[in-house]
Amino acid sequence: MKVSDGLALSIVLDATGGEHRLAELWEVRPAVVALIRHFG
Amino acid sequence: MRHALPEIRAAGAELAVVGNGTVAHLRWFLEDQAPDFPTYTDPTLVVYREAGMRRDARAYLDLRAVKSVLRAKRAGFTQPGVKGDPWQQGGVLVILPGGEVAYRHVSEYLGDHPPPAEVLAALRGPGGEAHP
Repeated sequence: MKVSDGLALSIVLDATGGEHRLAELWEVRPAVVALIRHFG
Repeated sequence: MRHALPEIRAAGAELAVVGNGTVAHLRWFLEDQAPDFPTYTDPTLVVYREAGMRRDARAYLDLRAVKSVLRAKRAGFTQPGVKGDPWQQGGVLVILPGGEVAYRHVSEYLGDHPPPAEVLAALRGPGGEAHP
């Protein structure tokens, strides 16, 4: 099953507020993406 | 998942964590936990929605969730405050270059984490070798 475009194009933020497409995570190697319930 | 990090990297993959609090919450997490893997946040919850993760209160009412909380308390874990959406549940995806989803775990209740062996097996593929 392929990842949906909606998920691949989703934007996440780093600690500086910088935006990243989620698909960047698996561009060059497999990614284990853990979606956590919340921080802390 | 962080305990499986050496095996994840040995399989040629990387662990990435996405939370759902504010950027300030993410900064707190980085200072408190000092994770050695990339960590991001999605305050909009779009990633969770697109990944099909649950967002409801039933996850807290499940008997297995109660057991999980008691087990965590006995182990000394406390939760000083929720830094993110209190109803959002999580999960784990293994995604290969090209976008193939090799594994998907949707948490059904509080403390429902995937067995690391399942995640690692998905990374290694059917032949037990890491994906090229």
